[in-house]
Amino acid sequence: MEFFINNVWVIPALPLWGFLLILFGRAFNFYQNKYISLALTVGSTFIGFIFSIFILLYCINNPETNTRYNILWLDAGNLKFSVGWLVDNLAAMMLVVVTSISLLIQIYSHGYMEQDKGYHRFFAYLVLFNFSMLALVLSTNLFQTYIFWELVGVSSYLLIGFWFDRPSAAQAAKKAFIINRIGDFGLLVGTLALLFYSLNWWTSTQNVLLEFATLGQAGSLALANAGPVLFGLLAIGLLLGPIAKSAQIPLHTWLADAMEGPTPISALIHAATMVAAGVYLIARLYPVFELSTQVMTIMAWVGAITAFIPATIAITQTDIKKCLAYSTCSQLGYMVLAMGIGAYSAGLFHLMTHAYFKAMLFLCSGAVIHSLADQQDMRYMGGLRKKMPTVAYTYLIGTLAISGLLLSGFWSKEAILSSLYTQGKGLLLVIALITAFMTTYYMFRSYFMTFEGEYRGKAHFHKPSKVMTVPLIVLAIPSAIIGFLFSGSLKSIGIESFDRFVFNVHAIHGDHGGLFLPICSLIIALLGFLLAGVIYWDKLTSLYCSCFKNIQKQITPLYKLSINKWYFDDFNNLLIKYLILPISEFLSIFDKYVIDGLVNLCGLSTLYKGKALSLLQNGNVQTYLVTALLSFVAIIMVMILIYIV
Amino acid sequence: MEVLQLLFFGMFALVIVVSALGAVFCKNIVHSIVSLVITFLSISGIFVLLNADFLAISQIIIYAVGITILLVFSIMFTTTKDDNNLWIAFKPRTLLAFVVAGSLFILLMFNITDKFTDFNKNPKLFITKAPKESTVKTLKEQGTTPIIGKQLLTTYVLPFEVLSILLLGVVIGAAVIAKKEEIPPC
Amino acid sequence: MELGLAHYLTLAAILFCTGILGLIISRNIVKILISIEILLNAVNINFAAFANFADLDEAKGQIFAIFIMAIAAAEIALGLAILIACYRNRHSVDIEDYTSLKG
Repeated sequence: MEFFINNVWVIPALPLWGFLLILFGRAFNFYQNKYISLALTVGSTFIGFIFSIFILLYCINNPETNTRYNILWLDAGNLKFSVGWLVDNLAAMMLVVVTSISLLIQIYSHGYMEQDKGYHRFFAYLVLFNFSMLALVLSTNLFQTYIFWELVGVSSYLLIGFWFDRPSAAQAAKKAFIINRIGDFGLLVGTLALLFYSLNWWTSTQNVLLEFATLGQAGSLALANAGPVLFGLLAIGLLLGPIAKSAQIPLHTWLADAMEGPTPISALIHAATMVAAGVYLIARLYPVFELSTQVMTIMAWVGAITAFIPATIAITQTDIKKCLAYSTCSQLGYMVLAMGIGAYSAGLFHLMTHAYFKAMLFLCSGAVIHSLADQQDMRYMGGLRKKMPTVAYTYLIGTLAISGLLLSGFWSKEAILSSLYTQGKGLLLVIALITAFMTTYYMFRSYFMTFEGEYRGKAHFHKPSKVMTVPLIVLAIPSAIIGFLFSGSLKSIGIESFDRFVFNVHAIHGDHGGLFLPICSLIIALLGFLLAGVIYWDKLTSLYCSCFKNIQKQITPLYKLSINKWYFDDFNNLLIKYLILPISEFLSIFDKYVIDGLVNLCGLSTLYKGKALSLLQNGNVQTYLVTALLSFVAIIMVMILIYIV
Repeated sequence: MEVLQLLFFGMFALVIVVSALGAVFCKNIVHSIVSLVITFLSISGIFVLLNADFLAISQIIIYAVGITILLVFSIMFTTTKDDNNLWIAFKPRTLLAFVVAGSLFILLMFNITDKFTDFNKNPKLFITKAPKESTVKTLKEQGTTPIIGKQLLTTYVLPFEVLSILLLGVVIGAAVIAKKEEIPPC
Repeated sequence: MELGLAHYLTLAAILFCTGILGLIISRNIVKILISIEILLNAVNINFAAFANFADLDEAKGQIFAIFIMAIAAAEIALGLAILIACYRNRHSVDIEDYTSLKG
C-alpha cells in the first residue's frame, strides 16, 4: 500500500508519456494503427485507476493520511516555488473519480470516434487532459494548481474545438477559453494578493510557498494584514477561478456552447471532471474562504442562483446535450451552494455522485446521437427505448439518480438540503427545493421525449456498438449505488459515511435524523416526474389536454425568458459592444500610438544606428582598412596626449 | 663630402616623393609602374647613402626587376582597355584617406622632430651610436656584404632557412592558385 | 646643415603616407599592390637608416630589410596569383566589384 502512495507521481506521468508518444507518433508510424493510440491512452489510465483504487483503500484504512512530497522548482530570491504531490482523502477520492470516469469514457470514445479522421489527435488531447486534471488533483500548492488549472483550460479548449472546421465549434472553443480567462485572471490576482500579504511568513517559516496544508494560517495572517475589505476582494478573486471553471453565474455561458465538442468530451470535461475542478479548488481553498463570512455568503448565493437559473433554462431546451449541459450547470450550483453554507463534505459528496451519473447521462445521449447520425434535437427522437433498451434503461437510472429518486443523487442532494435546513437558511432551502423540482421535470421530459412515445425523426437508426454500451452499464452501477454506499448506512460493514471520510474540522454536517426533509424532497421529485409525464409521456397526456391547455398562453413570457437563456448572451454582447469595446478601442489607440510609438522609437533608433553602422560593412576592403587606420591613428593620438600631459 | 651627400639625398628624396605620388595618382596603370620603377631605383640610391650597398643591389634586382616584371605580366593578363578608366575612387573613404594619411604624417613628424621643436640631425627620441673603427675599415674595403653574409649564416640561420621554405611554398602556391581549373572529362 | 637620421625618417614617413593614400583611394587592384610595395619600401628605408645610425657594427637592420624584400617578393607573387584567379571569375580588376562579403 505504501508503494502506491510513494509512487503516486506515476498516475499523471503515464498520461503525459502517452500524450508525447501519440503526439510524435507520426514519426514512429503510430498512425497506421488506431489500437496503439487506444492502448496507450487506456493503458495509462487503467494503471492510474489501479493506483487510485489502492490509494483510496489506503486512505479509508488510514483516515489521517496526508502525504506530501515537494521538489524545489523555481528559486528566485525570496520566492521558492515547488512542485510535488499531495495525497489525502480528498485527493484520493478525486483520483478515483477522475481515473474511473476517464477510463470508461476513453473506451467509449473508441466506439464514438472510430470513423473520425482525427482519431489520434482526439486521443492525444484526451490523455493531455487526463494528465493535467490528475496533476491538478495532486498539486501541493496553489502555484502548481494554477499551472495545471491553465493546462486543463487549454485541453478543454482543444477538445471543444476538436472539429475546428465547424465555425460554431471554433467559436465555442474561443468562448470557453476567454470566459475561463476571466476567472483565471481573478484566481491569479487572488493568489498573488494572498502571497503578497503573507509573503514574510511564508519565506521565514515555510519551505513550500502557498502550500495547501498551511493555507489557513496564511489566510488569517493575510486577513490581519489586509483588513477585512481587501481580504474579501482577495477571496472573491480566488473565487472567480472556480466560478468560471465550474460555470457559475455570471460566467456560465460557455458550458452550453461547449457542447459543440464530441459527446465523450462533454461527458468527460463538461460534466464529470473539469468543471469539478472548480469545486475541488474551493475545497482546497476552504481555509481561506471560511475566514470571511461575507465571501461564504456570496458563494452560497452564487451557487443558489446558478442552481436555479440554468434549471429554468434547461426546461425549454430541445437539444438533448444543451439540456444536460444546463443541468450540469445547475448541479454545480448545488455544490457551490453547499460549499458556501459550510457543508463541505456534502458538496464534495454531490460532486462525486454527480460525476458518475452525469457522465453516464452524457454517454447515453452520445449513444443516441451517434445512432441517429448526429441528430441532437429531441423533437426528432422518441420511442428509442425499444430500439436500444440498454441505453434507455441506463439513461433512466441516471435520470432517477439526478432527480433524487432514491438512487445516488438522493443521498447527496439530501445531505445538502439537510445542511441548509440545519443552518436555518430558509430562502436558500426553498430555492434548492424548487430547483430539485425543476430538475426532475426537465430530466424526465428529456427521457420521455427521447425514449418514449413514437419515433418522430427521419434519420436512419443503427445500433450502438458494444464498446459504447458496456461503459454505460459499468457506469450505471456507481450511479445507482454510490450514494447509498457512502451514506453512512453501511457503517456496520466498515464503510464510513462520506462526511467522515472527507473531513473538515470547521465544516458543518446536516443531521440525518428527521424524516421530514427526505420525504419532502421525494414528494417534490415525484411531482416533477408527474408534471413531465403528464405533458410528455403519451400514456399520461390525456390529463394534459384537460388541465394545461389554457395555461400555455399565460406562461409565454416566462417561456421566452427560458428559451433565450435569460438573455445572458445578449446581455454580454451588449455589454461588450457598448462598454468594453469602446474602452478597449480607446486603450488600443493609446497603445498603438503612444506606447507602441515609444517602443517603435527605441527600435527604430537602434535600427537606424545599425543601418548607419552597416554602411561600414559594405564589402569593400578599403573601407574596412580606412576604419581600422582611423582607429589606429586615434589611439596613437590619445596615447601621445597622455604622454604629453 | 657632407654637402655632396646632402645634395644626393635631396635629389633622390625629391625623385622618390614625386615618382611615388606619380605611381599612386597616375591614371594609366603602365605609367604607374614606370613611376614605381623610378621610385625603386632612387630608393636603392638612398640605400647607398646609408652604407647599405648589398641592400641597394638587392633592391634593384628584386624590386626594380623582379617585382616589376611580375606586375607587368599581371597587367598583361588582366587589364583591358576599359580598366584605364579606373582611377581613384570618389567615395567618402577617399576623403578619409587624406585625413588618415595627413594625421599619420603629422604624428610621425611629431615624434621625429621632437614635438615640432627642432629638426636636428638626430632625433632625441632615438639613441644613435657611432660605428667602431674596425667596422669603418671593413666597410671601406669590402662593403656590408661580409657582415650581412656572416650574420645570415650564423645568428640568423634559422629565419633564413624558414624564409627559403616560405619562398618554396609561395612558388608552389602561386602556381596552384593561378593555374586554370581543369574541367574534368565527361 | 648636416644630413642626419631625421631626414631619412621624414622621407620614409612621406613615402609611407603616400602608400597608405594609394592603398585606400585606388580602384585598380594592381595599383593597390603597387601601394603595398611602396609601404614596404618606406619601412626598408627606416630599417636601413637605423642600421646606419645606430648599429652599423652588426647591421641588423639591413638583414631585416633583406628578409622584408624576400617576403615582399613572396607577397607580390601570391597577390598577383590571387588576382589572376579572381579575374578569371569576375573579369574585372575593379575593387568595387569585389564586395560579396558585404553585411
